Amino acid sequence: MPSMQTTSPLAIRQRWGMSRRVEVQRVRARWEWARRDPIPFLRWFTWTLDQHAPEGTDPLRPFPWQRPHIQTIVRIWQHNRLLSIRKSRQMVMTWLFAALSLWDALVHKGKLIMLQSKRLEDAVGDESSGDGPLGRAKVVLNNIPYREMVLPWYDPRKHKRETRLVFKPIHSTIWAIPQGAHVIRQRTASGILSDESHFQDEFGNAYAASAPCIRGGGWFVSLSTAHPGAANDLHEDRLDVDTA
Amino acid sequence: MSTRPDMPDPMAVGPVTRETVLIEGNRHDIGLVARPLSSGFVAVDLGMGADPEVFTDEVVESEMRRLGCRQRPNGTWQLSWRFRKEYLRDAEASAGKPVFDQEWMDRQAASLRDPLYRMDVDVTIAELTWQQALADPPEGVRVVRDQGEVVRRLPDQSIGLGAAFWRLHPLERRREAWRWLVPRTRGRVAVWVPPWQQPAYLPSTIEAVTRCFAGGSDVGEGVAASDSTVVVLAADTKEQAAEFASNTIRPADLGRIACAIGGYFNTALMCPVRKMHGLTVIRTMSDECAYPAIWHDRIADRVAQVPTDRLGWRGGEVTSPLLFGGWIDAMQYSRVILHSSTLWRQMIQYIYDVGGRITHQALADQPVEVRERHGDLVVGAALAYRAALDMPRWLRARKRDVAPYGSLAWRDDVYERQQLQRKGEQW
Repeated sequence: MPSMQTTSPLAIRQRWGMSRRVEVQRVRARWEWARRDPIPFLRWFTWTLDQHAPEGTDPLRPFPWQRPHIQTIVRIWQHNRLLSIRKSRQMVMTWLFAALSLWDALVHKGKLIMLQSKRLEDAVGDESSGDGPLGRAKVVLNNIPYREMVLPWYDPRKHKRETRLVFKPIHSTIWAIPQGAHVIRQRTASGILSDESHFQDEFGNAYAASAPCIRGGGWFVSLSTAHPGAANDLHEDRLDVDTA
Repeated sequence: MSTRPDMPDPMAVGPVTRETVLIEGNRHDIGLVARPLSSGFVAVDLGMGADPEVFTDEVVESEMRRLGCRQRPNGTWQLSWRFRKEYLRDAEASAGKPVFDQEWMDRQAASLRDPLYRMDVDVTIAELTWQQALADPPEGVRVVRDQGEVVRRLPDQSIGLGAAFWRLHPLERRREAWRWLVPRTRGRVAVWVPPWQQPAYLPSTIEAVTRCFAGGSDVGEGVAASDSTVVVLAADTKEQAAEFASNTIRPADLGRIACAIGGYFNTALMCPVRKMHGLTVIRTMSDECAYPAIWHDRIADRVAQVPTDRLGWRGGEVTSPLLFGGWIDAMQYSRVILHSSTLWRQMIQYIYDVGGRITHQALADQPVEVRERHGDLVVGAALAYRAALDMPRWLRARKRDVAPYGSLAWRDDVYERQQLQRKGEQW
């Protein structure tokens, strides 16, 4: 698999001609930085699949962290737990929030993060082609450089499931769920990403069910291209959580 | 090992931007705008302008061409619906936009004026005795000394009650009173174009015509929540001839007064809505009043349109493109002439809501069911326009009296025309 070549420690060390000691020091310093700030995580430890990669080129690319809107959105997400983002298409937003969800689950203990889409299949997506929020999170996790060094406890055979990523050593879980309120109501989520929320018919119920989690300190991101509905009403400040 | 130079290395050293960056939009869409909401959320609008590295001018232009945008001769772009839907959040962009452009309404404003006179139905005349009517007749009513006649229209538009009127059964007298509009200073029916008025331009061979009219009626509940309306248009010029609006009239009474208005305007083709209370109106017009000209629905999805026995317009709400699309088009190209300032004012209050539906701005936050119960003049006018499209220009035409060929009068006419022609040439 070509992606293993570009992100493998040996390849990087050979390319830069650094000693093993310098390499370890640099990786540990950067991971420490990435643990405290998601932008370094996006910069050094996030690789994504580009579906529009030209023929003959490696579709696995470093995440375009340097784009101004990415950094702005990350800072807004860090300082505001509740976000409603209405976007044009092809803005790398789903990749961004899949990576941010993964970052939140990896660097904090005891997180339950739910990735919600209209259907369960949409939320689970496909790991091999980088589709769906959970599939993208798995792609990012698979291709973290120096993963054995920075996440020594991670074992794909134990922690990677079909519809979720369960990090038992740190008690964190990323879970793909379909639209609706029933899953959210039963659990206390630390973070909820509602992908293409404007197209979810049951967004109002899900939002109302997530209100206790939101009040308890969790984050909620409604991410979508524009379409009339409850999520759009939320974006336009017309949706009340008590009547949603 | 892959050593492509265009691929940044994850171990490369470089600055990290920690400050939030103000990103401006380009000409296609906004960039990044964040605003706090009352719910505690932060709403972020993220458009193509936020990412100029991806959405370069070339990419945007190719997207425009792919999605059917057209470039104007001056270099600007006319955005297609597909492009707006894909990238510009069209439903949101059009929210709050007026349905009728200010430019169209400005053109109509020139023809607004006060009504020529007002009329109304007076049912109280059925309760009067002959002596009372003779001694103190109501406004617009006179007692005529004609033993055989029940009611007739007098030249000054008032109605004359003959002695036969009091020989009718009281119920019959009441029914007869419902059939006639009488002139009233504060009447509810405002008239701008009288039914006997001749068109401004007639062919030289026609001396006078009986004009055709068409009316539309939108029906409310009659509980002071919304108006029940009747609007009448002239069929030839599509000029507004009359309007009636009341928020307290019951649907059955509206049917009776619609018949009276239609009868006054040369038996106009009336088109009420069929939905909800409109059924009561149609039933009253057809069964009780036996009104002969009620608009029929048609089956249009065949080779030839087939008239049906379904009376009235099947919908009635403004969101119906079948009804309102034609009315918007007529307003855009000034195919109608409005005289009522009330109707004009109602029209400028129609907007598109967030779902792209047409609604009165006072009802934008109401459920669709409430909107459908709302009746007003604009829907009545749109129905009248729809009915007017099915009418001929004139009902009856009186040809100009032409002198017989070869007679002395004919020779005088020929000589007169020749003299006029010569004078024109000399001049």
